[in-house]
Amino acid sequence: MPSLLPGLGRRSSPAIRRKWWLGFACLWLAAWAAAADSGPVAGEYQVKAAFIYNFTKFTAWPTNAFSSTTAPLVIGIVGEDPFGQTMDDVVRGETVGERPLVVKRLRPEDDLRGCHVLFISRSEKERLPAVLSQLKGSPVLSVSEINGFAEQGGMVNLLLVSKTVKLEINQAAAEQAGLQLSAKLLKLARLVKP
Amino acid sequence: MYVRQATQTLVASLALAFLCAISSATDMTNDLAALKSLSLEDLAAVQVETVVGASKHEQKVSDAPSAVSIVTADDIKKQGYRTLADVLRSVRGFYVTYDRGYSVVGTRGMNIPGDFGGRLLITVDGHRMNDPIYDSTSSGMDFILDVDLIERVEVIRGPGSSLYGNNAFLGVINVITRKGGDVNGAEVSGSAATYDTYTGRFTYGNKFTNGVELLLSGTYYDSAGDRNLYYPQFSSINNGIAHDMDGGRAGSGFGSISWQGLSLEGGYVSREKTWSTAPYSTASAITIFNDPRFVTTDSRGYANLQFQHTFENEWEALASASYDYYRFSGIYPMDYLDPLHPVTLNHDFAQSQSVGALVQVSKTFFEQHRVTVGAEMRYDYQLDQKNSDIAPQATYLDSKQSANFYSFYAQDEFQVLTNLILNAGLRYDQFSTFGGTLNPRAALIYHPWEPTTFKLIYGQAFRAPNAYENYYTSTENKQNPNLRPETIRSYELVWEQRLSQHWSSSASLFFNDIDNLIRYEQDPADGLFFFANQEAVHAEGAEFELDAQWASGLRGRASYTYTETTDATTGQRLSNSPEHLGQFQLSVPVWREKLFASMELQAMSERLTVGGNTVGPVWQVNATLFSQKIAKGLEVSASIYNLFDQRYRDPVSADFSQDSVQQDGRQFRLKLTFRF
Repeated sequence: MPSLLPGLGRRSSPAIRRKWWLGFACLWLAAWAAAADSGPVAGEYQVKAAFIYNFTKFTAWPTNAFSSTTAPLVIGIVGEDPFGQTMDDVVRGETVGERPLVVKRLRPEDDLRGCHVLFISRSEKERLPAVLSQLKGSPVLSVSEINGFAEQGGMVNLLLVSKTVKLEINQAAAEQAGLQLSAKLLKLARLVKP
Repeated sequence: MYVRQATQTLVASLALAFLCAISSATDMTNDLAALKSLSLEDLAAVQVETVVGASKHEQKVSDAPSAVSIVTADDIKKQGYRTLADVLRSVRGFYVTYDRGYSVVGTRGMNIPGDFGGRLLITVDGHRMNDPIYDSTSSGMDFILDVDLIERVEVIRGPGSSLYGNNAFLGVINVITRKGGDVNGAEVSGSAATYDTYTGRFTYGNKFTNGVELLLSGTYYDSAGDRNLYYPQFSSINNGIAHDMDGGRAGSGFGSISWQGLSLEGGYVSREKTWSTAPYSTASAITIFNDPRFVTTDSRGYANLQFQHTFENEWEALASASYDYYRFSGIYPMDYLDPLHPVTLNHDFAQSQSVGALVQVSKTFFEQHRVTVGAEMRYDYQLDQKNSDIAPQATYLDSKQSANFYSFYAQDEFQVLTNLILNAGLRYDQFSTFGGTLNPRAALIYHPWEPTTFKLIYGQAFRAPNAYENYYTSTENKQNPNLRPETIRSYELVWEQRLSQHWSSSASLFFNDIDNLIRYEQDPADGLFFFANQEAVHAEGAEFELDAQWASGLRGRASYTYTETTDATTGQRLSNSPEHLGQFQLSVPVWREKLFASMELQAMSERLTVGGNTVGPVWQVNATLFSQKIAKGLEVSASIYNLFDQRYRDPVSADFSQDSVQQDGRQFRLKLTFRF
């Protein structure tokens, strides 16, 4: 049924065309100036870093894991570091008891047993069995974000599931290494049997 | 010229971006302090925004190969959105036009009057809603889902044909439904509004202990509409007043059931609408104004059976089979200038039925490559269009067609570095109507710092000619089965920046080159109109958004969009294409988590009509008071739409005698929902 006329329109001048993005940039800057402030939405690795920080408080290490009562608690990151500066920012100035928290970045060939918490990056997926066997028997809380990590003998896995970070914990692996995980932590996690 | 301009813009925004990202570093430290102070339970509840529809699996919004906006069920309640059209007109860069028959959604300068929204793909839980006859999606009361059943709406901007094929031209809108467990009981909801508008809904949902999740829902809507609408074009009839000519009613049902990886979902909607505008007049046939028999009925339904499973070896597989139905029926009272028959009822009819299937597998290789491979086919075994007079009987069109397409697609999300992703996809579609089309998309997604994301996106997409464009004929029109698909090449730069725990922002620049646009043309040889691949259109612009939210429920969002469109053959701007678009929403908790006051503003600069006139700017303000948990299970909301009673107009297609049509004035709505 329809009978149509083609759309008619108006032309804007080239000068106007070139200026629009300039106006846009100004608006953008103004909004930035207005937005200098500090909810519930955060970045994935901020949340994961906050979890790792919490692990230091909700895990009990055997006393022989430290050289003295004031020796630092070392958080190691092995492989490509997804946290950037975030992990350092999280632990800056923090202590557990009298122990300062320290972040160390390690290569896979380094001795990983000097850490108390070890975050194993996704980049180490292929080397995971070797890394885990190196840690075997040492009081190191192994943490990762690789699918199936806890099933393969890792202790804590941080997974992004329907918008939130979920924990998977292999309690037996932690206990074998002499680590006691708090009930609060276990309650929150999906427990994985090896 | 565009290249130089694009380069200038890119350089300028990149420079700005770096400056700003550095300045926000201090804010981020404050956020961390807040995160660290949370209890373990609260930390586990902190949300990282995710999207499913952009890459066909759940991923962070900042990792998606598109600029994404999410509207949640919470936003829908607090802002009092009544339809999907209400939801989408609140989204940055989107606008809706209403010709008092259909609401049609457009974006990025494109919402050409006469279109039914076919340059956007709308999916429900991933299932395509655009029908194969008109490409229509429906976003008013004719949408298949009551907005109360929406969990969230993912708005994925830019070309998506590399994953979705047809219609994913300017963007993909994926509507995710609430599941049985989300409802967890029964809900009764009712509303009363201006123009004698009433709605009622009953929903039951549950997740049983054996893992079966079930949702069933039904909605009814009835409205008398604006009882007196004045059209000066028809001043010789009833003083130009269409009396009691704006009413409508609709009924819809929706259900979903799932058990483990198996799910069955389906819906049906039918909407009847009386038209006040008396369109479709020609020189020899005048549509009779103010005749209440001018009624259209749109019905659509679908069922989708899906199986999803992750195998031991980490292969994720998805297979689905679906059925789709669409029916249009319109009665037009016509005067054929025949004194013996002053009124002839013309019946325009279309019906389609389709079956489709999809299989898709994905797996991550070497931790770096997430590869998705899929195949999709659909067979439209019924594509009927008919136009006839009821008495005296005469048939002008009786077209029975069928069509099919099959396609293959692949996508690789390559984690090049820990902070750099390359998302590359390619889809080949073979249509029985026009042949093959290959559509790639590549996106570089770079996170120089945790709160900062840059996305550089190139994509191609298409819209296939639909059955209406290919086969509709009448005394005035002839068919054109040789139409080629409309194509778009799109370049986009997106910058997403979290400024602090509460503030985030997003900006994008886009350049769209559109070719083979399907428009009406008149054949000088026989004077008949037909659809032809016509103009090239260039559209470019910038979008900017600032978002703020606090745990208390305070939430605000402001956005601005600039769009420049040019028809390359005439050098003119497209009709119904606003240069400036502004949107603002604010929701304030007034009393604890129980009472919220919300308001929103939608503003649009003047737009051209198809007749070359201009409709004035739009300033519409809506306000809603929403309360929950005051009595157990009770939610009450009171809304005012178009608070300042602005009398704005929307451009309409050349099928209308009017150039533009008056929109609704101030309206009130009271809504109660009870859960038990």
